[in-house]
Amino acid sequence: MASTSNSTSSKIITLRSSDGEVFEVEESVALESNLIRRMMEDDCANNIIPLPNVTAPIFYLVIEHCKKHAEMKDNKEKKKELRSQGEELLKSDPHTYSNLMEAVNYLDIKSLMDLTAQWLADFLKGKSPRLIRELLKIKNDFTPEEEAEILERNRWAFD
Amino acid sequence: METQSLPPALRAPTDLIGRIFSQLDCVDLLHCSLVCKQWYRDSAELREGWKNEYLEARNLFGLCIKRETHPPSASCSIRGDSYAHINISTCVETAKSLNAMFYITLTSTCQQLNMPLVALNVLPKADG
Repeated sequence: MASTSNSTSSKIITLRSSDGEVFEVEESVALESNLIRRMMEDDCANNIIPLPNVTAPIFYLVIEHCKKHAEMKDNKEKKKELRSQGEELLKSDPHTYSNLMEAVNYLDIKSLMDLTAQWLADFLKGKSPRLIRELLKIKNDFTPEEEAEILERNRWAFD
Repeated sequence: METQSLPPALRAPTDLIGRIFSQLDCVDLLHCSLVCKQWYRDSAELREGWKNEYLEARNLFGLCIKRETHPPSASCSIRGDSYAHINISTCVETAKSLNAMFYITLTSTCQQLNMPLVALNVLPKADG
């Protein structure tokens, strides 16, 4: 998974995750990350590029989605498919979703930032506050009084 | 302890959360603001925007709120599959009697769907 060398012209970039795993990634994939792009431009990437904020399992996910995203260009079916995967991930493993989103943000990968943001937006639509809390394991830190007050103040929308 | 109580989705940077919230309609946004205090703060600006838009529509078109006849979900949100079934004449008829929130949601939905004509059709009828 670390490298797919089917493209002969592509240079391979070596990256190291925070937990020490080394990845070999095609340059075209690695350059999706603006962080890595900047590091390479600044020439601080002669050897192995360290990614101190990203663990190996999350980096696998990032690469996987970068590739999927590259594949789905102009393919509406695939686009739909990728978009619908968010609901599943958010329901089954919101923690991993959160880590993925953080990593994508840290690596500054525009396409995946859009995708992960879309996932959460789609996920939130049509759900009650209680259900959102339950599924994303968010603690309700409002007192019942505060909750009632907010509802009262926003009657205009609910009525 | 603070970080432990922070739920996963909350660790999203504020600007990202703002972008996510901006894709929601007003009812979904208010639901999110009721999830926890952090989201309440993160959604403040957008909520204000919705409210102003609502007040503006009410002033402009003189649409009134009819509480008893229209439950929030039906009047404030058009979601999912129902997109496909929106039909212009129904919209116009409904908009005549419905509240301003419906109008706002309808027009924003039309914008999202790139259907400006539907909004235009509803507008004069609703006004009259």
